Amino acid sequence: MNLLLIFISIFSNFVMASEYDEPSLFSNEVKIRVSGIVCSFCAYGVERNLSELDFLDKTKFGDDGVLIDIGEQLITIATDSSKKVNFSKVCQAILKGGYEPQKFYLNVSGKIIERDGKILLTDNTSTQTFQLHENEAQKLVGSTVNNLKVIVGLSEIDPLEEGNIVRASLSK
Amino acid sequence: MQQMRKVFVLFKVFFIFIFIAILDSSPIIGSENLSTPSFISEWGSKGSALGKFIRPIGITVDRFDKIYVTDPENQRIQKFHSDGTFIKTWGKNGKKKGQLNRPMHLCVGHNDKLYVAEYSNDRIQVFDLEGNSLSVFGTKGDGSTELHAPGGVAIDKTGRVFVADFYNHRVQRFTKEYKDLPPIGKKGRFFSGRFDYPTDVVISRDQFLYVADAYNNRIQKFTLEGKFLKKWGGVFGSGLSGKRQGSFSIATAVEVDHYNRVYVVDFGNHRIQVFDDEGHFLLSFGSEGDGPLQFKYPNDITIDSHGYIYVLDSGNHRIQKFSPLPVVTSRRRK
Repeated sequence: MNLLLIFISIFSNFVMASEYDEPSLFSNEVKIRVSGIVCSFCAYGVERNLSELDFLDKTKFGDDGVLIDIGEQLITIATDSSKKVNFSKVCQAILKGGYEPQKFYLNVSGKIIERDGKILLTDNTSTQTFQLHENEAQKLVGSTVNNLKVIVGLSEIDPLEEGNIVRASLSK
Repeated sequence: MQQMRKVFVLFKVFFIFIFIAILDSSPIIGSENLSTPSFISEWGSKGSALGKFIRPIGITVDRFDKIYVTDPENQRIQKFHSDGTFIKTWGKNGKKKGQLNRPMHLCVGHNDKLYVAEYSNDRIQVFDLEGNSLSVFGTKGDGSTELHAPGGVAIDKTGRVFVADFYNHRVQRFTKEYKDLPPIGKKGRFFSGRFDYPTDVVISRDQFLYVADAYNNRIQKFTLEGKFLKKWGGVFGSGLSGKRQGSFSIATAVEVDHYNRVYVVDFGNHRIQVFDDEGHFLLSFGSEGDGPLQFKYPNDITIDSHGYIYVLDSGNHRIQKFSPLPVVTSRRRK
């Protein structure tokens, strides 16, 4: 029985991220769904780690640009619209605090183009480029989108790669 | 050969798993006379108005039975009568004296001063019981007088200060003049005297130090000079997280009553567990929920001069007050 509970506990960690609905988004913010049980102390640690990142808008969320909802396991960071979000650094800050990042949600505005067989969307203000999944985005090639919600999975982030093209999928 | 080694390692992991499971199901003797405390009242709800909280973290009581609560999302401390009637509040976000940045656990010393661990200011701030700031000490770092995200604070009879130094994985000690003393412990798991993100400290009436070794899921007991005495939580105090009696899922706070019974806030299991001063299990109360005697991620506990128990039910943004535990002699392990 105990063994069964241990296995269930391990398995539940894997499915935890899918328990929640996709969060709603405002412009210039990134929401990160996280997993792993942590106490309020660690949550404030994550907040401290994230608030040191230089692409945050620190005029929001109590002067550090970070909002953590422990119950919803959701972290929101207000971003400086003129700067690229370094997903790798966000991941490292969250992992260091004890949470495990699962998915990033953000709005992107710009023109969707096809280049070298890749479908790309570069954000107008941050100039961050996202490579969209071909099946989902083929029909949007050539169009200009405003606040298109994209999702970046943890597996799409290369911890050694900073600020380059990030693979993303479209929100359903 | 490589494959043989892999199979051997897999077998080893499997047998360790079985061993732990068997140990975890070993009986723990509780007290047959100790009944669950009765719910008396509750106060607080989510918000920033006076008397409301957003995920409060710390609670303590003075010798006049006035209750002090840290409300870090609102960057303030609130003071109440023991029936929950609001008295006053102080603090706002900042680094200056009198200001606060993420106030966490707090305590009242024998000198009637209130000591507050400020997580994001990396310091301890001392107030009188009316909220006037008297002094601050500690700066960010891992040196002898430095702190990194202090989580909890306790004062001994002589005025020495003990701090749960969260990110430095140690208990930092100060003289009553706030000069440094040798710290207790260092980062580590399993072994005695090693800590993994300690969040709270308390000193019992008989002057022993108990540390909530949060991410080792255990409590450790020391003399005030730092000599290790006991540890419990999980199998043999190993720190393995669990749901059974005597195991914890992040032990965020510890408190000791007048009879040296040790109350542990079992954050992830939404309950309080009570032990004797040797770590023998006595009682558990609370379950997940938002009704009376139910908790959602509790963060702290305090006990007043009459033995009434106040649990800081953080996830429900409230305080619940319970009747004192009866005084009985605990049974020991067979």
